[in-house]
This record gives sequence, C-alpha cells and structure tokens, in this order.
Amino acid sequence: MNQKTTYLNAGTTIKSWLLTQDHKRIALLYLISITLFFFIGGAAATVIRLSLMTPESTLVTPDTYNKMFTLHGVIMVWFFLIPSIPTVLGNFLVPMMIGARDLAYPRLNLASWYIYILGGIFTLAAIVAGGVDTGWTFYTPYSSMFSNSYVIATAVGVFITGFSSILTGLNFIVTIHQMRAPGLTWFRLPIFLWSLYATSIILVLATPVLAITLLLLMLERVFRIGIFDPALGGDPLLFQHLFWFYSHPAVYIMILPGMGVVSELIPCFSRKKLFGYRFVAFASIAIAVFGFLVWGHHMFVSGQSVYAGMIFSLLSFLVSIPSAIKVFNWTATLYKGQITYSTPMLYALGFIGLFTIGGLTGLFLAALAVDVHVHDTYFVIAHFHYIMVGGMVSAYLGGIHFWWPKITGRIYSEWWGKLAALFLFFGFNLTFFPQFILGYLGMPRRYHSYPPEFQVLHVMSTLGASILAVGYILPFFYLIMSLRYGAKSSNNPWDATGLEWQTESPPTKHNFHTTPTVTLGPYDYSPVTGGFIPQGVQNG
Amino acid sequence: MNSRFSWVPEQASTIAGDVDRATFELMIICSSILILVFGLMLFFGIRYRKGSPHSREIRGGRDQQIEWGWTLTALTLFIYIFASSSLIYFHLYSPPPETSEIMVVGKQWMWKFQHPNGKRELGELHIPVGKPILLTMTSQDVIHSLYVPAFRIKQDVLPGRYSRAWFQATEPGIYRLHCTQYCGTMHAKMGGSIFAMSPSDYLKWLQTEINLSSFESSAGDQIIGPQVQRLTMASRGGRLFTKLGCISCHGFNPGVRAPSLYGIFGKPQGLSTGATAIADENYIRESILNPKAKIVQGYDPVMPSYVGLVNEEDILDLIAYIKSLEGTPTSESVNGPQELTALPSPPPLRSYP
Amino acid sequence: MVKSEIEITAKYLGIQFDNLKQQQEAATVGMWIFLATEVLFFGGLILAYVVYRSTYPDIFDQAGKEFNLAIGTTNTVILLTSSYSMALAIHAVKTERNNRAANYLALTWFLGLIFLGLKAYEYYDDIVRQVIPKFPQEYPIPSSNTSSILYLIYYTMTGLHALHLTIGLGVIAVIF
Repeated sequence: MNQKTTYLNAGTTIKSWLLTQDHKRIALLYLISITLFFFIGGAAATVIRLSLMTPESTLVTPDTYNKMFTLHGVIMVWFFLIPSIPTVLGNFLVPMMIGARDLAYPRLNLASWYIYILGGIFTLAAIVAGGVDTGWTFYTPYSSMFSNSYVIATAVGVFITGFSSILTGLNFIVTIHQMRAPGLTWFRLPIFLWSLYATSIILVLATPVLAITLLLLMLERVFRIGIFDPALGGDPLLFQHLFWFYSHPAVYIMILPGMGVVSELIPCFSRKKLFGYRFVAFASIAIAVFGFLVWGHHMFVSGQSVYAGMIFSLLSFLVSIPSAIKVFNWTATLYKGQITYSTPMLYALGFIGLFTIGGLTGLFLAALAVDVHVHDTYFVIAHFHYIMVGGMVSAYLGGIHFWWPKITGRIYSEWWGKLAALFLFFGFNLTFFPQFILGYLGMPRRYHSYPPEFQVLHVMSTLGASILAVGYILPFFYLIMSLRYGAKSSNNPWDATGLEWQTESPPTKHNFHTTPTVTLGPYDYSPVTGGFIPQGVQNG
Repeated sequence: MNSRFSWVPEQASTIAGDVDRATFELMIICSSILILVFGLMLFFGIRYRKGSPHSREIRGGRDQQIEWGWTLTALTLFIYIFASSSLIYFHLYSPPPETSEIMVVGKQWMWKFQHPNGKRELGELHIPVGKPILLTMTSQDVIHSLYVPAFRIKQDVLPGRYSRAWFQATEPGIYRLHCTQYCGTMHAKMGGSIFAMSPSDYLKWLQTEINLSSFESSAGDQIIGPQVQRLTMASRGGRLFTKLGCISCHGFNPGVRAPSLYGIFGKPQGLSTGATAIADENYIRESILNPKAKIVQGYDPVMPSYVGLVNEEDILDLIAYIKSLEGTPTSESVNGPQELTALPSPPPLRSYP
Repeated sequence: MVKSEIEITAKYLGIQFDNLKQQQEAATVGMWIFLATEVLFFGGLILAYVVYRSTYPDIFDQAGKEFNLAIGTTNTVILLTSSYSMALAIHAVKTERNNRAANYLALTWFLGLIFLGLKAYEYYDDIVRQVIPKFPQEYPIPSSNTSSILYLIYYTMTGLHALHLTIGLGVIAVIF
C-alpha cells in the first residue's frame, strides 16, 4: 500500500503540530480544543439540569448553581460557539474553497490559536480557583463592586480570547478579498464564504468594543472609580449599551456560519442549485450590518426611553427579514430535487426546523409588550438555545460530518451518524420546548429554586437533556472510531461541486497541486440526472 | 398561587388581557409560518426523495417575483406585529394622571415597600384592586427587576435613579412577585407576594399595625427617633428636613443662600449652565447626593453632599415632603412640625457603611 | 534586474501568495481592517468619556483645567508631524528612494521617542500635582470624587496610546 503524502503525515513530531502554519492543522488544533471546552460547558449544563429536577435544589448550593450557569455561559459563548465553525471549518475550508494554498497570514492564524488557549487558561484558572458568579453578561454594578468571585481572571480570559477572534476575522476578510483563484468572482463564491465574510466583519468591528468594556469593568473593580456603579458616580446602563453593542452582533457571529454550512449541505443533498443565491448572499451581509443596530432590544425593561425601545423593536423586526428569506430559500431548494438523507442532510434539515422555531420565537421578544412579560424568563432561554444549540450546533455537527471525509480521509458509520442526528433533534426539542411554556408562565431565568407547579416541565426538560447528551457523545465516539476502522474516502464522496472536493482526501500540504481555475458558480447540480459539474478544476 | 397547572398565567391586571391577545396573534402568525415551512419541507422531502418518479423539470424565470413576494409578505406581517405590540408598550409606560404611588426599594435580596401613609412592608405588597398603582422604584445596591407575571409587568430597578411601573389589578388575590435581574447568591429567593384586595379592605389594612422589628433601622430613624414610623412619608420627610439642617438654607430664609422648594416639584428649573431641568424625583435625589451636578441659576454651589447621611428610604421621604410643599411657606412648614421640639435630642450623625 | 526580482520574490514571497503584488495588497487590506478595529477599540473609551462629560459638565470642565496644556499641545504637534514623516517614508519606499525612506523612518522614530519622553514627564508632573484618580476608601463615595472618572479615563486612554506607540517604535526599529 503506497502511502500518499497528506497534510496529516507531512510531519509527525509534536513540534510539527504545535508550530504548524498549515491552516488545516490549525483547524484540527482548534477542533480538539473547542471539543474540550464544549464538554466542560456541557458538564456545567448537566449540573444545572440535574439540580433543577426538584423545586428546591438538593444537589448544589445556590452559590454553586450560580457559578455553574456562569461557567456554562462563558465557556459556551466565547470558547465554543463563537470560535466553533469559523475556526474549525472556516480555517480548514476558506483557503480550499477559494483555491488558495493557505490563509493570507498563516503565522497570525497560529498566533490566534495560542491567544485562544491563553484566554482559555485564564478562564479555567478562575474556575479552578473558585469560579465566578456574575452570569456571562457581567452586569454592573454586581460584577464590578458586589460579586466576591473571580471576576477579573474571567474577564481577562475573555478579553484575551477576543483578540483571537479579531485576528481570525481579519485573516478571513483579507484572504477572501485577495486570494481567490482565477475566475472565482464574488458571485461564484459558495454561500459558506459569504457567511464567513459577514461573520468576520462582525468579529473585527464588534469584538474591540467588548475588549474595552471588559477593561473598564476591570478598572472599576480594581480601583473603585465609578465607571458603571452609580454609587461611585457611574452609569450602569452604559455597561449594558456597550456590552450588547458587542453581544448582539456576537449572536450573529454564532449563527451566520451555521447558515453558511446549511447553504452548502441542502443543495448537495437535493442535487439542486441553491434557490435565490444572490438573495441568500446579500441576506448574510444585511444581517451583519443590521445586527449592529438592534442591541437595545436587550434593554426594553432596563429603563431606556420608550422611544428608543420602539426604534430598536422596529429594527429587530427588520433584521429578522433576511433570516426569514434564508429559510424560505432553503425550503424552495428542496422543490424538485433528488433528496437523499445522509447524516449531514439530517443535521441540515434539523437546523432549518430548530432555527425556524428559534427565529419565530425571536419575534415574540422583539414585540415590545410581549417582551416585557417574557424578558429574563425561560422563554428567552429557550429562544436562544433554539438558535444557538438547535441551530448552530446542528450546523456545526452537520458540517463536521459533511467534511469529515475531506478532513480525515475516512468514512464514518452512516447508521450511527443518523441515530445521533435523530437523538439530537428529539432530545433538543424535549429539553427546550417546555422552557417556552415555563417562560410564559413566569419562571425567571437564573433561579436555583422555583415554585412547585413548574416541576413537571423542568423534569421533562432534564429528561430531554439526557437524550440530547447522548446525541452529543455518540459522534465523539464513532467519529474517532472511523479514524481507525472507517473505510477510506474517495476525493469527492458526496459528488459535491466545491473546489475543496477537487483535491485529495485528505488534502496535500498545500491543498492543490496547481492553482485551480474556476469557470462556474457553486451548486451546479442537476436534479434530473443527479449529476454535477465542479466549480473548477486544477490546471494541468 | 394555586399549585394547579395551567398553560397561561392568571390574568389579574388591566394590561394582562392585551398582552395575551398580542401573544395569541403572534402565535397564530408564527404557527402559520411554521406549519407552512414544515409542511413544505415534509412534502418536498417525501415527493422529491431520490429516485421518486415525479418530474424534475422546472419552468424557471419567476424566481425574482417569488423572492420579493415572500420578503414583502414577511415585512408586512412584521410591521403589523411591531405596531400592535408597541401600542400596548406605550400604554404600559404611560401611567394615568391619578395614581396611588407606592415607593419600592430593592436590595440584596428583598423588596421594601412604603405606602403614602408611611406604612412599610417587606416582601409583601398590599394594593387595592380597580385603582391604578404607580411604583416608584430604586435599588440600594445592584440592579434588580420587579416582575409580577399575573400583571404582565416587569421593570428593572436601578441603583442611583428612579424607575417607574404602573398597573391596575382587576382580581383580588395573591400573586407572585419575582426579581428577574440576576443580583447575586439568593437572587431566586428575592421574591414576594402581592395581595390585591378590595379598596375597603385595603383601607382597613392600611390602619393596622405591622411588626416593624424585622426592619433594619435607617439612618433617618437614628436621627428622628423610632416612633416616627407611624408618620406619613411626607411628615417623616419634613422631620428629616429639619434635623438634617436642610431647613437652615431652604427653609427659614429661602431665596438667599438656596432656592425655595415650594411648588417646584414637576416644574422646570433654570440652571447655571443655561439649561433647564424638570424637578422630578431623579433631580431631587441627585441634588441631595450630588448637589454640584445641577446648580439652580443665581446660586453658589455651596450645598454639601448628603451621601452616607441618608439612605434610599430617607431620600424617598424627603421627596415626598418636597412634593407636599405647595403654594407659599407657612410658619409651620417653614419651622418644621411643632411637636418636634418635644423630642429628645437626636443621636449624632453617623456615616453609613 | 530580472534576476534580482526573482531573488527578492524567492526570499520574501509567502508560500500562500502567487506574487509580490498580491502579498502587498493583502498587507494593505489587513492594515486597514486592523485600523478599523482600533477605531472601535478607542471608540468605546471615547464614548465613555462623552457620556460622563455630559453627565458632569462642570466637574469635567474644572478637572480638565488641571492638565498640562503646553505639553499636550506640543505632543499633538509632534504626533501629527511624525504621522506626516511616516507617510513620507512610505511614499519614498514606493518611489524606490530607499535612503530617503530610511531618513524619514528615523525621524519618525525619534519624534515618537520625544513624544513618549514628554508624556512620561507629563505623567510625572501630573502625579506630583496630584492630578490622579483618588481611590476611595469608603463606599459609597462623596460625589465630589467624580473628577476621578475623568482622570481614570485620561490615564487609560493615554496609557493605551503610549502602549501602541511603544509597540510602533519597536516595529520601526525592527524594520530598520
């Protein structure tokens, strides 16, 4: 058996991995580290769900409960959701999809991984030292003057990780601008790249504001000078404005890449062109731009002006339009396709279903009077978990399964894959649908104890969470098993059109032997024959 | 507060029905969209599964119309939802002119209420049904949020300023009250009950004594003695006004060193910067704690700050007193309530931890 | 000439780029995006300043008079001049006048150093005159301490700026 030289066996020392500048290897470094953080955040979620089985928590103290949901939020938002698709799939695929040998700044790419790890170490150190109990939102003056936990270490961790996001975003923008293969015009880019481009804009423009907000928070906590605490002359709403100016766009950092992945999967498994390519592409950019103008909808009951509330509400309805357009376009793509139900397609369809529910319930929160009632209740929890866990994690796993043969050169067990996708979908709904009802009934979030009549719904939710957990743990095992026992993959196992499928699985160190020339837009599938024409071919 | 399960929380305020109707409308719209999307996905998914015999020939050319069609439909629906729920929101933030005002102070992890006649409560709030109630709220420490699910109201309570919420209860009963802005370890326990009673029961209740031993004594209590808790807020504020020495500039000879406070409440005040400010609760609070922030035109910034000398309840009493000052000074209002002279001399001022 | 171009290409072209022009353009785009992040970074601080400037106009006005106007003005002039000389250096590189570029770079570097020196003296002067935030021992504090907010924002902004400048001087030194 002659061994091909791939990026995986191009160097086998630990140093060749830790000092690599190969975007594919850096993607794998990220894959391993964010998987670790995902399971840490998941463990915290397990404690939360178990302790909510009974109205008065018997499992953990109130203080521990508060630290658990903070840990869950901080780890999942900054160390899993935000980096997940961009740094793993994005790092691996951006150069390959545009026919380049690497990202524009390979060293910066490696640096961003180290910065991410450094930020993670600070945050984990804060947790080991005793944890932090402010919630991931760090609202002042609680976080700056009242909390007795390790706020500064955690904030430093998040602050540092922010620079990793900025560098990744910067790298993607420059790469997509400057390094596209000959013939790859903007309107021939796969939607995944449009999505990552929009995501990167948010990463570079919003993250610095978070950095400066956390810096001010730390200064107030250390020096007791009033930036945010009114008892010291500060303004607590300023913190909320600054925080949500970052954190609302950050929500789109978490969902846009998922939309991108799904826009690749649906056409491939329907053997059909994506319906309304330009609408979907522009919708991504519209979401990124409008996303910067709606932060105030997190503050409808904070005491901001009624008129500000109305403007933010109107803009929030407007930002939902591009998302709606995408859902309609994905559905229309199925029309007259040749649909197969492989594992990635199950995840993609699951994404559309869960994202649609999450998006529509977002309308309830954008509607002012309804939001006053459900704000800061389990309704909000259910809503954003539908978007982020139901949506983003489904898309992430769908993408991992779709590109796994390309990344590793191996085929995983289709049977186990489908089983895990179904576990995830049903487990997820059982976990979070009852929380919509809980929220409307008036169950506030971040409560370690609750009125007894809510117990039935909480127990349902915990039951669902255990099914969901199986859905997450299964892929971890069968994907690793496939590395050893899986069949070897061909170069293009899904008959997909993208440039990344025109090279070996796994690719060589510099992706392509010669720079490909692009002649077509993406998604040139034929629903009649089930065939396809690749976007471009390698020269020579 | 029964333990039966229901799908919708009790409706116990005038606004609750409107909010539920808006929610119901949204449910109809969103369910229709959801059923449409899921139905189409299911239909296409089965009909066009791989190898099915149905034709795959597409007559194209109308894609643009389809795109604009659903974009504009969604836009119209969303604008409608926006408008209808904004109207309710506006109503929710526009209290009617005649309200009974109840003062609320939140602190980690309890709610304190004070009725206009001076009666105080902790974790419980008694209110009459059928009358609009205005809550003027502030926090002693971090941000809290007052939430009454049965009334469909929620309002963040911030330190350093007053926020307001109003409601009108419709049904007598006992309703839950929650804090919904995370405020620390016992956030989940920062709740309480609202007792909505008939107006006559409420009046009777207002006259009853409640055990005050559970209240921490405030700085003001130290200044004017313990028995004053039976006074109305305004007269308690009046005593503080005298004992804190406010009266020496604002009282005996107003207009020389300090402006008169008679009839200023709710009126615009000309400031030294040339701007004007409405003398509302937030303005008075700021003028007590940070007197140099807004100087009334024609006066020197000589007033000292009262930070640490008064707590949130004391400030609310002072505000109630200033609100009660109408027309022109009388000898009693200028010199303070007469019985004050009979009181033993107060303990020395103590700075607040 | 042709040979040297090939040599330069072999030495400086990253493996991911097709040619030097593409590499150069990528660097330019990257720099602009970096500048955009900087605008947002300092934008947060400037917003905080504006908010408190309008909340405490009189206090900020008075407290602001404590700053050393002469050094501030001189430093502004130096800063703008050094920006100009840096721009001239870039222009010289583009027109392949390397000696001139080196001189402008050196000028920029020295102006930056003078700026930092003056800034250090200004800090020293401020500290001696007690133009510093007062860290309160009590909580809550008397409201007269709000001038500390101005001083805290001042030291944070100028400190971050000095940090940027120091990094910039390091980069120029490496280029040199």
